[in-house]
Amino acid sequence: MALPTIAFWILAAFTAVSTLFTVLTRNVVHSALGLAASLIGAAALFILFGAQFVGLAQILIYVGAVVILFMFGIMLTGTAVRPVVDNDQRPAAALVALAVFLVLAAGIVSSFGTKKVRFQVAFPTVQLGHQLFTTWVLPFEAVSILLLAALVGAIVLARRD
Amino acid sequence: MPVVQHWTVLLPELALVGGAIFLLLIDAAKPSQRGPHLAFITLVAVVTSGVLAFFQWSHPTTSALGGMVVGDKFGVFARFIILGAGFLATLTAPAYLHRRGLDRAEFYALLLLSTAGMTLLAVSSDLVMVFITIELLSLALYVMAGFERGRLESQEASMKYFLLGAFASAFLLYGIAFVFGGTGTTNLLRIRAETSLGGVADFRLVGLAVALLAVGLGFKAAMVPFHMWTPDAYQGAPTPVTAFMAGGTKAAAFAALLRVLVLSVPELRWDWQGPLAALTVLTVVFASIIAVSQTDVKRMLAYSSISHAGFVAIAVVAASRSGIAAALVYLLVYTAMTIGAFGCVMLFRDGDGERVHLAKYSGLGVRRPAAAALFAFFLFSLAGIPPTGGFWAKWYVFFAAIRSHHAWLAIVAVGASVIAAFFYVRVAVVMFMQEPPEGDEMELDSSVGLKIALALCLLVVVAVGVAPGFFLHLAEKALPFGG
Repeated sequence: MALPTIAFWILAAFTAVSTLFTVLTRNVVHSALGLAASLIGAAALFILFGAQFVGLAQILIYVGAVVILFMFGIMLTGTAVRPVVDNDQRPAAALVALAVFLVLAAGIVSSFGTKKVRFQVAFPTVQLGHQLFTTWVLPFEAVSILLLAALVGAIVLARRD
Repeated sequence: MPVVQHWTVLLPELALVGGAIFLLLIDAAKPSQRGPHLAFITLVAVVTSGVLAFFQWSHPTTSALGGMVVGDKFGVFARFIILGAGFLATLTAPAYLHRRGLDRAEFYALLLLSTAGMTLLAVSSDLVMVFITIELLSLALYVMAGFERGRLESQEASMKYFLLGAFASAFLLYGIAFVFGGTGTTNLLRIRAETSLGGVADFRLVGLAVALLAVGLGFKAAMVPFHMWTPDAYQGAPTPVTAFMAGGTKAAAFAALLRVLVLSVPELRWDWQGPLAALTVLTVVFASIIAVSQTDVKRMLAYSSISHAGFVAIAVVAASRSGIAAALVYLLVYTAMTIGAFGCVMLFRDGDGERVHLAKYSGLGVRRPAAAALFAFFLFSLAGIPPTGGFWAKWYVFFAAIRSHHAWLAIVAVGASVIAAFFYVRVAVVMFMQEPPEGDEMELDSSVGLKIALALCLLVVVAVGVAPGFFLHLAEKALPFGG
């Protein structure tokens, strides 16, 4: 087996195990950490398949922002003190998860079938960066103004006085 | 590097954003100092932006920054309307905010950011920019609508506007995705090339996309049936914000609608003119009828602004040069008269609050004849009674519709304006023909800013009423790039 293939199986196993851990643990703090691990695994898979930008964005946005937001949510709602939560919807959740898996698997198999996956960079990040700061520089700047407005707005609405 | 050329097209927006950042910085440096100097800085930023935009009037039209924006006379004209709305709202704001203990720098910073979003939308020539600028203007407005956190109606206004606005943004984005799928580009001029003869567009996808885009922009312009948020948002928001929303947002949304429909997909005209005409009829008729039953004056003016969106949309349906010019003149007059009407609501004090219930207006013309006459003048102009500016605005729109063979649309709209005239005139009747209640002195707000704002609104409405040809002539010159 070639080295990338071995790497793929290790990363895939890591991702699958940490995802299972996320849904099976009854402790919400552990669950959030499991999600972070699972997302890092997915990011590594993206990078392995040559989608560097998607992989890095995944770490930056999902691990760096979304999971941290979950952590803040757990902290602020006081769940961290009594972190064990569970309910009786496990069978229903399993059913939904299975359905989603079947749909996605069917989609992937029907569109790629037996095609060989090549481990190479399809779209270099440097090209993306170049595009972002030439043709798309104005939308890029406009988004930063948008974020400024969102920040100011959030403070206005949330602050106590 | 060709893509960074002509960045000077964006100088007006840089002035606005610079003003907003300056306000935030001085607030951080001296947080205890509040007062009229904040409004003054805002006014300076808006005027600077207006002067910078004015210098672009004589420039040749250009496409700048990778085709994201265009510098054209249409953009300058639309920017002037939007900046005017921002200027007037800023004039009315300090007294209102001070009375409620809300005079913070953030309010003015958000107002400037929202104005920048609107003016940028008016010059955007790429759907990605259209989406981002709509988000920018809306996000700031959501917060401004809920600025009076202590009042439940203000929270309600913000919440409803936010939830439905997010929903409309999803439609817009979905439409943009379909445009990209159907034409391979998001640039408005390239979309036009791809949908013209010899282009490679997939017309089923583009048709669907245009419908979704019209829903998204129709929401911002408050057209029926996407108007649900309008009465609650306009009623609950602080009145200076309501005036700004009613004037600026509508002008920006219609500038974008004109660019998208008339400029980028003229080849699909036969597909979108029919449905848009149906929406137009629905808007003018429905809004006029519902407005009749309103007893809250701010709510009534909200329905009035919905029906006016319908009148501007008639000019869009016309999809001609005279239609574009008529829409611009209409938006100019509409902004002045609607901000004037909301300004009058701010002028009529009732204790610490405003007179919002219609019954509270009885006898106002007896106690305060000059102020009541001013309000009546704005209402008559909104109704389209000659010789006010509102009459000529409607006249040009109907004329454009008839010239592009949509005479039936003009006839329906005239019928709706007759219904609408009823509720405008009713307020005047209540003010002048009923006796004032005992012991109600009906004091007026004494703020200088509000008075200047009302004088400016009056000036614009009278000027268009006296010399409509001059403004139409300017608007006819203000054709969009590539139009």
